[in-house]
Amino acid sequence: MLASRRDLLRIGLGGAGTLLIPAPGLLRAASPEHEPHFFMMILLGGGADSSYMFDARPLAMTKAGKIQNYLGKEPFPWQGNNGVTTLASPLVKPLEPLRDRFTVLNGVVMTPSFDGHLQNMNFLFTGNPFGGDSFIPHLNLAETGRAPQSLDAVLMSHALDATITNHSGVVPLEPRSAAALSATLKQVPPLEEGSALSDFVRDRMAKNAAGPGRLAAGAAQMLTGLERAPRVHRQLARLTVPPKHLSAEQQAVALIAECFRLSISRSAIYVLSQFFDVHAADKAKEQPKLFAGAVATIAALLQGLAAAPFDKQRSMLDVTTVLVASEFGRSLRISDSRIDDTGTNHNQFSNSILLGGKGIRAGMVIGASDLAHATDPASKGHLSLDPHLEKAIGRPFDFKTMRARTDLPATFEMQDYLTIQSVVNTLYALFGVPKERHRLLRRDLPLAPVLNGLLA
Amino acid sequence: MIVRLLAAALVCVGLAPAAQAQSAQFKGWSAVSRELSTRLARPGAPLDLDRFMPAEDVDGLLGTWNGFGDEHTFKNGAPNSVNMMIWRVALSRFAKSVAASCKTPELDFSDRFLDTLEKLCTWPSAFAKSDAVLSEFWFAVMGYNAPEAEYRAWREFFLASAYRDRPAADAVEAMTFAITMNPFFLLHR
Repeated sequence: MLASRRDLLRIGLGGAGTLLIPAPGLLRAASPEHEPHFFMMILLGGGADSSYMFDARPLAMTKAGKIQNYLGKEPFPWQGNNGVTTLASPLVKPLEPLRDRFTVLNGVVMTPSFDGHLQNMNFLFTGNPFGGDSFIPHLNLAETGRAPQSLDAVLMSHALDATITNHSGVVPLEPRSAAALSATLKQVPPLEEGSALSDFVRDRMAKNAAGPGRLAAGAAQMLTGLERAPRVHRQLARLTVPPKHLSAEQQAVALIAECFRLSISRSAIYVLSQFFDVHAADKAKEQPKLFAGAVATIAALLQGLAAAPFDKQRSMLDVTTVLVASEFGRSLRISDSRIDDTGTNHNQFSNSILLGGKGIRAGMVIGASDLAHATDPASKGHLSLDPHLEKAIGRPFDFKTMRARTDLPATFEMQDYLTIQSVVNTLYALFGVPKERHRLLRRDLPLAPVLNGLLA
Repeated sequence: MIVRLLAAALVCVGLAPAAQAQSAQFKGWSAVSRELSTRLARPGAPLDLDRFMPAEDVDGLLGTWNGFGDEHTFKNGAPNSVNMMIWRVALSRFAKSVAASCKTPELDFSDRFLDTLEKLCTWPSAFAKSDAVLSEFWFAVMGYNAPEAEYRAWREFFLASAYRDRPAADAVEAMTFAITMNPFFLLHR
């Protein structure tokens, strides 16, 4: 599954070929006054169990009936360069060569009030369990001081289940369809403004866009899309097609890199093909296989980014911030099931996230979840949310030292925990998104703190 | 007291942000293909419109249904620069094919639509410019999806612009394209 040296070289050469094209968008993106900065999100859908990656538990806990472990292998210490250690599942070994390229965040709290997929996926993207504006297009706003790209993001999949209102510029673009589209667009001229027919078509959209109502809003979007279409037409026509013999991940990296280089998009979303929702025991038992595949894909994507050149000095990973996340983690077990025959439920109180690439201090371990050992006591704050101790919960977090605290709070107070709001605000800070858009910890609480210690 | 409460309520209403209208989304390629087939093709013989798409596997970018268990959601229906570009390429190819059918039908059109097209193909004759011929073609392609104002604007454009004196091949192609790129044709209402 991992890219061979030869394949990575091919991706790199493909990119280098593109760099020889003197496209205005490319020159602008690469010029020093427009510091290139891209974003890639790798999404694990369904709620991935952190214990199969970077928040593992010793086998003694499984023997004690506290947590399922269908891999049956002892986890190993994963030491961060900030002196913090977490236990990692042997399944993450393929990521070891890349350990200095990303930081692990454990015990990240999602939305405490809901444990559904949609609500937490919405919360991840929008900061609201019922949905709203995604943070990804915010990274492409003129307010950041960068010229907006043609698209807000390219989505390497059709499947992204979230209630998002500002994703009209987030476009599914898979390597196969992009390649065929590019080939056709090379032969068809774009529909430019200025012809009588083109102006008439635009005029009808503009006339119908005036006023209230759904059709008017749709017509307005059509008009905006049509105005931007010639630019994206020319850009997509220049896409270099990823070679078919490459793996799916390598093709995706090649296409994403092309979209970044050609100023088509500043962001990309890659949804892994695995689905991690394992309530039933038989499904939960498939997790070692699921995670082996997922880790291999993540490693291939990161390696691909590291191998693909952006310019003569920098790789794609040097100019791209990467976030790996799921909508939530999973419970340790289901309490009325045998530990060797249990599925797991949703756990919005502890998620694991990987952050790496441009602007991120990599190699660290930040945050932790509780109930790390069989004898660990639960705080009263924990028991108030999870009386049956089915879930690990993020440990209180010291934002100054960037370390998990060891105290056992009597109540669960959001401001004491590492939250997804802080992770998104850290991305906002990194991309220069104004404070007005930063997420609140909760509607009645201040802005979630930026994780300054995570910024390079 | 009641007056104060009412005043406070009015102030709150005034301060509340205007509710954003949800945006209409595209019907999707399969729905548009079905509509065109229903209106223009022989019964039971849908038109092969996929050949006008710029590439295979991109029809999903124009709006498509996704199923997950009992949940069905419509994806990619929000207009953006990529799907507008694809619509434009696909529909301009379709329009060209309709215009080319003035000489030899390129698609398996119904006799009724071929009759309608035959009349329009006498453009720029006075007969082709009659309201009867133009409205027949408009309704054949658009159906009853659009208000009359859209038809009037379309008719006026082709009667007043340079297309007034252009050959039928150019005019019919442009007329077809203008109808099919109209928001009332492409968007769910």
